[in-house]
Amino acid sequence: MPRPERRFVTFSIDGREVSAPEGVMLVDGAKYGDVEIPVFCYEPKLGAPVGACRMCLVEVEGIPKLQTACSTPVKDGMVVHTQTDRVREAQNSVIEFLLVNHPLDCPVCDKGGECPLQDITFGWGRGISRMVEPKRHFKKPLELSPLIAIDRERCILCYRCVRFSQEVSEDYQLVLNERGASTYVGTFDGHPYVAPFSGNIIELCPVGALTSRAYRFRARPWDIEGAGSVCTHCPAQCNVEFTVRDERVLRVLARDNEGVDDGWLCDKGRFAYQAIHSEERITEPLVRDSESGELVPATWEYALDVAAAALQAGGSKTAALAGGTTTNEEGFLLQRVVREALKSPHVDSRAGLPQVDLGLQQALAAPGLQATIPDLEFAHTVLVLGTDPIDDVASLDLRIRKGVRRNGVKLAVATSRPSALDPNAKLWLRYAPGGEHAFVAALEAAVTGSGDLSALCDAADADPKALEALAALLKDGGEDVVILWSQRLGAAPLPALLNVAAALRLEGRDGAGLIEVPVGGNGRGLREAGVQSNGGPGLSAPKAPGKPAREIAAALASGDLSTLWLLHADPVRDYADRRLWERAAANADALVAHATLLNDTLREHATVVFPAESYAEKEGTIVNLDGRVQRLRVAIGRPGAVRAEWQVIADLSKRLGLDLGVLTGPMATRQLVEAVPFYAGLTLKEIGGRGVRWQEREAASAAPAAPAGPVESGEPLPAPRPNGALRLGTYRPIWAAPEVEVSPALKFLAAKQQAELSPVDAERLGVDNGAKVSVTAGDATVLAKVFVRGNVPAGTVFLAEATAEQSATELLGEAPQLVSVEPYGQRPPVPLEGLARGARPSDDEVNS
Amino acid sequence: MAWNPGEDVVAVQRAPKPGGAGGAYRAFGETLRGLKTTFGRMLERPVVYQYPEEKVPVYPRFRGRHKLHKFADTGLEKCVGCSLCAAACPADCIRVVAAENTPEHRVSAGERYAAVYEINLSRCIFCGYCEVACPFDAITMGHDYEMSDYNRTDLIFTKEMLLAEPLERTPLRTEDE
Amino acid sequence: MSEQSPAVARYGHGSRIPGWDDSVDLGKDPAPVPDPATTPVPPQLREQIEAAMAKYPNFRSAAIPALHAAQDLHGWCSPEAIEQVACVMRLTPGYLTAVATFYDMFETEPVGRHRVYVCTNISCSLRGGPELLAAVQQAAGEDPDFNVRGFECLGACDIAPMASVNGEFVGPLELADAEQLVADLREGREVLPEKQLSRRACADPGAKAQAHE
Repeated sequence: MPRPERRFVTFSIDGREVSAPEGVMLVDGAKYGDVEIPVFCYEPKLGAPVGACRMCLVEVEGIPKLQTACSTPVKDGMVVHTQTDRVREAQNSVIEFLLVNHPLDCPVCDKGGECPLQDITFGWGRGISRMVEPKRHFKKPLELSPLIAIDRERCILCYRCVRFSQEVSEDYQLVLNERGASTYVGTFDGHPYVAPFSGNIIELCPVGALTSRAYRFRARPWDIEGAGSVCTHCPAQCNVEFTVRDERVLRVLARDNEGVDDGWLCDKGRFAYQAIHSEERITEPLVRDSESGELVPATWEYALDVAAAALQAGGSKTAALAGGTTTNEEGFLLQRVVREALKSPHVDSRAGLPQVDLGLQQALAAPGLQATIPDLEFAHTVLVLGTDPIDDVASLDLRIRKGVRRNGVKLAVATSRPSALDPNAKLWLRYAPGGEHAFVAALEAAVTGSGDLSALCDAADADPKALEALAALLKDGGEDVVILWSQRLGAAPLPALLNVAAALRLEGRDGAGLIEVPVGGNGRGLREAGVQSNGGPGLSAPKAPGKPAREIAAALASGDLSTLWLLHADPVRDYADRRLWERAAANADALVAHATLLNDTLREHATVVFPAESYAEKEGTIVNLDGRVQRLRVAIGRPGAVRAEWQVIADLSKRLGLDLGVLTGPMATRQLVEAVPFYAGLTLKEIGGRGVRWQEREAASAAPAAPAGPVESGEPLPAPRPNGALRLGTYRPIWAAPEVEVSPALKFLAAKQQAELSPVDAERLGVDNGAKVSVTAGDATVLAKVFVRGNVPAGTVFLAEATAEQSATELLGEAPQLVSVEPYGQRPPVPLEGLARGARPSDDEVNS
Repeated sequence: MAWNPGEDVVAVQRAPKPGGAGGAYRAFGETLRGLKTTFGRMLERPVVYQYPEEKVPVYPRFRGRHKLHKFADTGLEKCVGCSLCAAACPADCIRVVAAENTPEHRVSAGERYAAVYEINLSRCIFCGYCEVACPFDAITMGHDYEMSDYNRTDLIFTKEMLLAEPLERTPLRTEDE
Repeated sequence: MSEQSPAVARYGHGSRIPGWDDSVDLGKDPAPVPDPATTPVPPQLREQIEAAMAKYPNFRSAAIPALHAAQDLHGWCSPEAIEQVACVMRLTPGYLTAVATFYDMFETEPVGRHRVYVCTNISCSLRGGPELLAAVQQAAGEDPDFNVRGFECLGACDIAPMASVNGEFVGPLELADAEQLVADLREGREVLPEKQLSRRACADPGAKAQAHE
């Protein structure tokens, strides 16, 4: 659905001629004439207005009754009055009416001082009330969820929270129960309202009825300062405003940026700020004591000396991994130190995912082939490929839902695991985990009409008819097609993906293209800054290609590499093949890490741990998934002895004999901009508060040109056949993160391992929902709770990655996996014969 | 020819000629009037207050050091930690950090109470806006004006100090005084 | 009316509205759309709901008939009943709770299986509806099988005062009929057959001759 054109109409409000876009509601139209109309229930982000609060009544000439300005669109020649006695009387009365049952306990209310009801009462109210009877009183505060407190006395029934739940996040959990004067906001049978975006209703509430438990009574609006920055917890990089009091972040609010987040935040972005002030935060350098073998606090000079000595000793046998909240500048400096001072080519930031050929990367990152986030809302068709946005890049989930609901976007979902977007999709397809390459190749075959579709579908275990329908939808559903694909697809399917994009002629088309969902908050920026084994800054070819993360692990385990340098990365937890990484960490001669929180790996193996800055303390730039360079700004002072990361890297570099020439944060930015051709000329001022997409700048023409011509896709391997065992599919839940585990408010959500099984498999295994099972691959076992889901394809079990305990990465090896699932505690798990990692049974075995 | 002023003439009053009793009075009269006051006071008792042994009584509406109040019956603090005093304070000398009452730990009557309540009396200008802003009459200006100290940090009064019954050192002026 | 409704101190004990004073149970899981794999639905109920869903252009319109079907099966809109409807309709139980609590004829608390709604709106009230309600209530006593309530206009003013007994309209009723009505229900007989609306000529032309005989 292409963006609607905006025509302007002229109407008169309070005697002045105002020109406003056609179709906007009077409330918005009035703003073009600097007239403010008070509203409670109206919030354009929530979709169609409901006119529930009656606060916005205005007089329109020609209509006998007062009209609600929030639901009356402006028309040419309309004459509107907002200052007449009738209107004033109506506004006074509505306020008086709303306050009849409002407790007016502003001194104890958390909204006091930033409350629209207070402001509007002050501005448009009568000032007195004729209500002399006692007011209704109820128990309060009540819990609506562990994150949200509800105060039903204060509620003015504006429907905002309910509309958010029903029309924006579409979880339909929050509803209005009962009727008339008895109406109240509640849930089904006392179930808590826990959903990934529930925190937004706190910000939406125009009174103090819904308040944050984490922010409860922490501060008043006049006690605090707002500090705009960017959330770094996922690649969506939603714009946030930190509420700071006494150098502590107390709250995170959305900072509406239409190009990024559309004004919504997920609960992780809203509440995980608590990790910044966690008790467990490292605030001073830790060095392993040679005598006791323990990490002990040390001075910066000593820690830097020890780390520099360790890196020097490692020399070209050093490998560096960056991830998490690493900024472009830090990544850039890191790769400079490793490549120039240590003469080692081994740097990576791709979370252990397969290395993608540089030419292919350049082709996929071609500015003409990039879609923007708002394109998801206005495209004809959106294909979500291999990712569930709710887990990987949460705020895009809302963006896609908005497109489907309001603009009629046709959504297709192609994933191996059932997706939260399935109910909204026109078409959803499943393929087997491990069949990504075959699936995308099949999609290419279906779109281009060449190739053996049925064989490829068979290899991917996908339905050929559904694939044909998908191809038809992509080809005939309108030209603006956006494909949201995940870096988790791996490297092999990407040529086929590029061919699909070429066949659909997405290149160079505004409103169409590809969007990659990288793994890691700044995955895209780090790659562009050169933190990858086969690419230097600006996706250039490095002098010498290094090993990708996986090979680094193998080399460390075997002793080919000796030193590991981790910048915010936690490969043992986050990367596939946990046991290999454990061996690698244990076997490394030295492990230098920058981290905010200690984990078991660092506790046992780290030589030096530098206290790292949290994202509220950093300055620098990061790049979100559609190429928007955004700026992290310092919101609070660094706690304890924490130093700026660029400074630590520069200090280390100096000790290693390389002067980086970086004395301030902006100097690092400048070096980065000079090194990356397509950032050329970019300044912090230009990035500003809203960020800037580098594809939209002139310098984008300097992006490296991809090799021309169609790309050879290669023969896809078929997905493994279950053959009595189960295929293992993995996903990373939004709540599987250390910052969730250390945040007191979010702790209850921390992901626990669960095995998602189809009802067929559950019955075959004789396990019920909630039973404990052991999932075994080779000699690795993971314990999980069974979660039977009707829409999980039979023959597959899905496990969560990166959970604190029993992570599925334990089972992930090099190749797609088969696992055996056994009820736990009944008999010891026995590894199935012939089901070692990657082994595929022959067709005979399947048929027998 | 001599200049003719016409009708623009000002009459000048000249002082009497010096000398005589009139002259003596003019020279010393005012001095004697002053001395009358001087000698008159000699007979009165001194008006110096022997501060600090003796204190000047203050008017009932005198704005001295703040007091926080408790309910007499329940013993709960009146302050709910709403921070309105801090908002009203033009000198920005009040700091309030609120917290939530729990059934086990109930400090004030409402949902919230002031966990930290500090007034920096070295910055306070005793304007009394905090008293006006308080919706619960939890803070009032007392009569105590003796707040000098040797250390600036000691001038930051905490909640406990403000809640404590002040030593009644300042006498109140009676109505007819 | 005041004799029937118990005197309630107006603000004395907080809320008279069910749910207003209730916190959620943090021990429970959130309530998304129930998974078919773990929510067994009686096949007959499923059939009824699916038939209702097929009738409307927007399947959500079937919420009311579907909830009625579930209420008929379970006796009231229990959380379990709502979950079953939600599972078939692919809606959240919350959505259906909002519908069930909105409408008067959905019971959100367990009630007796005999539904006796006595009309107390104007026409019936003028002809003794409230007294009739009191009489029926007295006749039914504390019997847990009975669900006797006053009701707003049931749209049968021509037979005022009337009552709806398990969906069957009967009227005009005398106070003396109350005992009979309750007894008929207890015994499982047809309730006051001669006073049923459906036996009237307007509803059943064949009944006219019968009535005259």
